[in-house]
Amino acid sequence: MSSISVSDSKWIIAGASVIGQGHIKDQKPCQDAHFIQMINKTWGVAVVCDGAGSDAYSNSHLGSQYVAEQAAKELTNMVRKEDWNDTNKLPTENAWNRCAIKALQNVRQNLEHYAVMKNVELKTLACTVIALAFSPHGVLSVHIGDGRAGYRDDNGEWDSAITPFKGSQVGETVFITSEFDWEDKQYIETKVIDSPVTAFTLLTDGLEWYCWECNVKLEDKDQYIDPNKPFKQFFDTNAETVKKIGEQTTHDELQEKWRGYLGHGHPKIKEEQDDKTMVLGVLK
Amino acid sequence: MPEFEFYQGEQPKNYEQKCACTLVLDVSGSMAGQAIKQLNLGLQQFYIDILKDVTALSRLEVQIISFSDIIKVETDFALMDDDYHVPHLTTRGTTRLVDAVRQGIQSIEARKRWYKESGQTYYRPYVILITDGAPDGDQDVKGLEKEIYHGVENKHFNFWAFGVEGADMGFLRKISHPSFPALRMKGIEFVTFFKWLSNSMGTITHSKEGEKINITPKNEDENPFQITL
Repeated sequence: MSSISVSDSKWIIAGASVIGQGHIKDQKPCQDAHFIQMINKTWGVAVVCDGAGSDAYSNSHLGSQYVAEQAAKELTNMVRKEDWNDTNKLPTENAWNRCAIKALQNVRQNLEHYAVMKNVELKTLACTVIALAFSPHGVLSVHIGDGRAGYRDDNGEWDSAITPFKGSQVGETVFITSEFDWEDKQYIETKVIDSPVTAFTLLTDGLEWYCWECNVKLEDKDQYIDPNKPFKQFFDTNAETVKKIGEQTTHDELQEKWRGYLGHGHPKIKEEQDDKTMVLGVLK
Repeated sequence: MPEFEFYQGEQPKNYEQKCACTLVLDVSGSMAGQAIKQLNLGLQQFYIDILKDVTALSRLEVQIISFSDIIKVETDFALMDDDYHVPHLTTRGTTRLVDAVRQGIQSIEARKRWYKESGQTYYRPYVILITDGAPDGDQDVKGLEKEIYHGVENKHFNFWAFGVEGADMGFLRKISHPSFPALRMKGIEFVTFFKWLSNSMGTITHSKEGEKINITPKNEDENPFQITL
């Protein structure tokens, strides 16, 4: 079954994966990737992946590209098979959990074959994965590792769609290639947001500091928490701008402008050492 | 074509993730004279350079421990901001090096516990040893060697040893983990060394866990070690 393009859908979506200053300096490739696939005019799937940075994971740039594309395909097939896109009825938490885990297990299996084909060790392809199946009727999320994803409801409020997995040391997380219990919700988490959605976003952790409340000190206490809250000013402004650009230019031009913004269009983000990926979708 | 404005405004008020670094500094009698003078100048330079690096300034928490026959926490973990006071070190006595490094490791572990209890993520901490000698004869060198190997291997902390002229490099190499081999400094060029160290800590506080960081000096003038670039 063929898919429609984003331009022909009810959504305007900007997405870019941009290399960080650290990898430019070290002459390494961008290890982030993203993939967007429309299922019909209102339903689609967006995926972002962040390749593991250290030398032990030297092919993570290939892993992230492969996983982003495969996850989008697997989840698209799943949504179609279950007919959610035609009925516009979102699944129960249990049904989505079962389907989403199965989809990512398929991705992992395909990745194992890909590693054999490329003659590389599986672990060198390590990457995180965040996927959203989005529609105006709600959002279905699944993820392994860190990064952020969120959505805007029909009251204009932004909220998170996932809880990232982080260790106690900066950057410690879990990857699709890791050996973990697929039943354990801290490693692979699924969520169903069964209420109207007007915008959504997915991003790798290189950008979270600039647009997400993620390390806040409690007043009058020596205690820090992760509120896991999209920063409304950032997303409201950018959602409006993405929508305007999308209405007045082509999809490709929008992607180019978004890439420019994440690359050099923001005084702080342009200095970021880590690779940067953000997908931002807005309902027309 | 109309002008499009992506967001340029303020960021969310996220607190910076911290990187704890303990400097374990030899102030035994053999450091008297030019060596201790240069070490004090080097520490001042370190402070000045960290002040200029906005990221390191907000992330790097430095503790300074001096050791001779006495082990003294000169300054506890603190950001090197405008309120920071650089201690002035003076020399005396012998070299309780092993006990001092152990004190540094214990301080790092306590700091990590506090980070965890208070809900903060942190960069892998650093214990940095600078010495011009060898430990006193009664010190448990083998025990320290094991402790450092276990700590670095299991990613609890990183340990770097730097030997000044006269240091027992064989001993320093022995206690160092293979991933952080001990290095010999050129003479007593502490100012150049601390310039390099502030640059390195700046790079580290910009990095992600597990990433290989290139902190090799970029040219001979910036090279504080007896290594060929």
